[in-house]
Amino acid sequence: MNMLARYIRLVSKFFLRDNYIVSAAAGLGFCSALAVTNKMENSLTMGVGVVFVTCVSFCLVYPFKKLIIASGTHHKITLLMIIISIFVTIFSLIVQATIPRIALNIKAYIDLITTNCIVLAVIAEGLTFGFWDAQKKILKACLGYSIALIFLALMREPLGFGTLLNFRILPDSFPVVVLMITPVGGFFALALWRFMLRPLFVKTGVVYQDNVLKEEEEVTDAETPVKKKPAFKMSGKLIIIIVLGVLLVVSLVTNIKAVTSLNSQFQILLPIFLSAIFFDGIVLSKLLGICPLLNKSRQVDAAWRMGLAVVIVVTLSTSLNWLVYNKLLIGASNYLSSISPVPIRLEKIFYLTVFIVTIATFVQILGVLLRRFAMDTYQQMGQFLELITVNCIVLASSTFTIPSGMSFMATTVTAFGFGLHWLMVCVWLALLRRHRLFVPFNTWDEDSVAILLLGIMAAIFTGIGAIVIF
Amino acid sequence: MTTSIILSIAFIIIIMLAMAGLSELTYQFFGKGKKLKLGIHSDDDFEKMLTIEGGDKLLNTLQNKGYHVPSGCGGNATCGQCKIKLYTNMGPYSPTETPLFDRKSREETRKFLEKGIGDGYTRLSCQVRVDKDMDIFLPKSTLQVKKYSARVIRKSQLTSDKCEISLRPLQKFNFKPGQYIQIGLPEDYVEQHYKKHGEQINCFCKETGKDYIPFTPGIDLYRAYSIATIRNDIIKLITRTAPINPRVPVEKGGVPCLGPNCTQEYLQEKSIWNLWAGEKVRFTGPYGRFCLKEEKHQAVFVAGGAGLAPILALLDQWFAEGRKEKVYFFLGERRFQDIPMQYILKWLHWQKIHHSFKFIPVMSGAFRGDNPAELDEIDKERFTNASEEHQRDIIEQGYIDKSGEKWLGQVGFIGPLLTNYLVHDPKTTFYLCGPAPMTVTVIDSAANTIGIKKENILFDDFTGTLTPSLDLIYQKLMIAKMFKQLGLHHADKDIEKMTTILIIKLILRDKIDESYTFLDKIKEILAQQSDKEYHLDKLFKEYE
Repeated sequence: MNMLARYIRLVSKFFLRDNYIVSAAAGLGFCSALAVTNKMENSLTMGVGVVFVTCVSFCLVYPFKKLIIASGTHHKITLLMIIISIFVTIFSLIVQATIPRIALNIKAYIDLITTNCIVLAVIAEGLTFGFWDAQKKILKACLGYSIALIFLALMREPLGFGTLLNFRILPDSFPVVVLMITPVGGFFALALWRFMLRPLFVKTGVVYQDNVLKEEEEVTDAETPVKKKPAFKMSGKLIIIIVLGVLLVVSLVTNIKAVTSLNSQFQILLPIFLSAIFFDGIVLSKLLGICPLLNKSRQVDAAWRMGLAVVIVVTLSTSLNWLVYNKLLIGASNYLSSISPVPIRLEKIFYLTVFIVTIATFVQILGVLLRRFAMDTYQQMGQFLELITVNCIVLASSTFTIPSGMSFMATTVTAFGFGLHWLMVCVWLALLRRHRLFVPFNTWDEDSVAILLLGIMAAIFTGIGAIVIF
Repeated sequence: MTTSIILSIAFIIIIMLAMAGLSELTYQFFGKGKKLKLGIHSDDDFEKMLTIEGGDKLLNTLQNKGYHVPSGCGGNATCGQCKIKLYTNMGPYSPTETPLFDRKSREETRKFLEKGIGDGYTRLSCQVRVDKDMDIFLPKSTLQVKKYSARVIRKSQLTSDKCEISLRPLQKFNFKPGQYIQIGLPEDYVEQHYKKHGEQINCFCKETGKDYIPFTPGIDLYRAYSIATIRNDIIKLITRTAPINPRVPVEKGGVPCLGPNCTQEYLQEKSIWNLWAGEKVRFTGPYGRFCLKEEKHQAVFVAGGAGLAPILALLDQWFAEGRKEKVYFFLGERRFQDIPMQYILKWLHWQKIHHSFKFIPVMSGAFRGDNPAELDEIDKERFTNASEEHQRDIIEQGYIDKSGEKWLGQVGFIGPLLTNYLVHDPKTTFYLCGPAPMTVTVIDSAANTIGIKKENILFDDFTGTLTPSLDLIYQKLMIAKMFKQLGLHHADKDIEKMTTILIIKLILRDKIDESYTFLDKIKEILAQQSDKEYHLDKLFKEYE
């Protein structure tokens, strides 16, 4: 009996302690957890996908451990990324072939398993262990992630649709909470779930509570003003003048009928830009890039710099990706199709791999060059630059726009809008968090509060998006 | 069809290689780092110097060298798991990592960086760029120490507080008798212990001024145990239930130290939070240089409490190798009940067939004023419960009288008894293992009366204080000689006073630094021309 109790305790701790979604403070892998959990079937598919991709790509990576380590860090991430993205592609194709209905819903998020923080981190860490130990760790992380997804879906699907795995479990008369199945509801559901589970976990000893941050408040307050860069200190008047100027220029340009090409460009690009930055933002309605957002928004200063780095990398790498995709991949596919009996569309299969490799290489080269030639800029921004290689926003702004055949300008402008959106939300959240609305006393609750704040922001933006401007 | 598939694959590979080549080229031209040195330190005086290429993140460098620093986010400064202690100043926190440190460590960091107080500070290793030679501290669990696993196959109670645990290693494990291993305690067990006794441990730590280390998940706790056997297929360990506070014994509700044989109650209720038969444990090792000398020599083994374990192994080795020189085995225990009955038969047997072997159990009594010569109820019970063979042998060799009422063996402390058995012979080798009071006093009297050379005293220094104590005792011996040469009035009295102050007041209270200053002061006084006695008296009074 004792043995049984002990094993139950051990197993539950194994999966639930340091579980990235429900119990760890860091908040890794939130993006997909929020986006796909409105239906149980989606969560299950996603969970299986993460476990499959991680385990199998680790099996492939492990024999080449020595090679990967010897090739140096600047190739390590790229190599891992290639292998992971290939398996993601395989999984994605399998899903599309077998369960097309689900694949349609979460195709975008299956692609983004590539940049799921959990997958890469676990594989990179696993390389330093023995094979089976590493597999155990991988299973712990990935199954823990899947379990968390299932938990979330268990809450959201019955409340939102009244069904579970498409079987009706609640009577039709039950009032359906539509909030639960919208993207905005994801934030509320996760925050609620974390608040509810916390006391239970603490009570059963699954979570070990020790990091009490009672006195942190004054420290943070004392530090922030010192580190504030004068560059970001703009007076209210200046901002108003700039905004007015921008609006003036925009209205001028859109109204100059004389330059027709310019005018028509702006007719197309301005709505795209506005929608990317406000109404269809990457954080608040596509639910991506949340893990860095939660962590970098602890300090206003860090939020600014990280945001700037994101804007630069997202814009540049997306335009680069457009070139690679449209010129290289499509060109090659056309050529191949012309000489082979069956059409071969490389861009349908390998777009993910090519995107991620381009991004990794680009960030790597940018980092090296900055370090060499612009040490000052690098010290300001450099470390943030390298942090975003594996950031879902960067990959997402490529996968969301390029394969659907948008033009170069549209792609770049969208990516720029996404970057600005991220910067805006990050700084906003950082400012809100500095006010410590609920004065939580540990990082765990603090993150939950931040998620709640994000949810409120998302709700506001959805409201703005409902207003028809154009 | 095939050609086009091959072509398409080739095309993809070419793209990849081109990208990799581009990044490699940039790296080769602009990003190449210098060769740097990275020193890794850990517990048990572990030290390793690595030659690395600079310019990379510390986390990546370490992971590439095979040290598994945990990191949940893969170097994103998000999870805060890759904290590493640095001994070298590598610059302040970056803005991303500041929120991941609590106030206490920030305070320490500030002190270290600004004023140089303390020996190091903690940072996220994924945010430290290695651009100069540096030294770091890694906890034991991240080191490449060879780890073994074993199953507990038997566990038997030796005495009321001692327990013998047999482990069967699942891999081949070689060691020399006298060495020790470190067992990783099962994490859930540690957690349970802290849940139950955490506050008391905290209180005790505050009282004694030690640092209280709370339970942190993910960090393995290791405890060292000497191997009590010479066989390497089954490892035997002896564990003892010791209270953390020596003044509150476990029986009276004291908190036991953490270990595989931790608590009385756990043992009795056969609780799951204890190492039980069938449990799988991990251990590292072997460690230590506490081994028999190769050359022929006369040996004295002194054991007490759980320190019996390595001595058992060494004795086994001694007789297995068929050495013929004289051996004395002093076993210091509190009462008869504390002698493990399981082994005594073997010792008595050896004493019977080998004339060179002498077994001398010495009873000190459980508390002041206790007379261990009179067997109390528990002693008697243990004696009568022992097998007939035991009883016969014990009575035959004259340790207990025929009625089973009286202990006829030695009583008191081992130190003063040495002269009864040993003559002045500097070549005799002492092997000691046991509680510090016993070890230190035995070393002192051996040095004094038998004139043992310093290098002939061997022991296992688990606490780290024995080695300096040995040095102190020999310094004191030199000073005592000076006393005699100078011909002071009551030289003997003064020497005795100095000894008691040094050993009881200073060394046994772990005040090593103070002991050195004490001896220095005496030396100063002796170097003076006049009033030596007066100054000495004053000094002694001050320390008393």
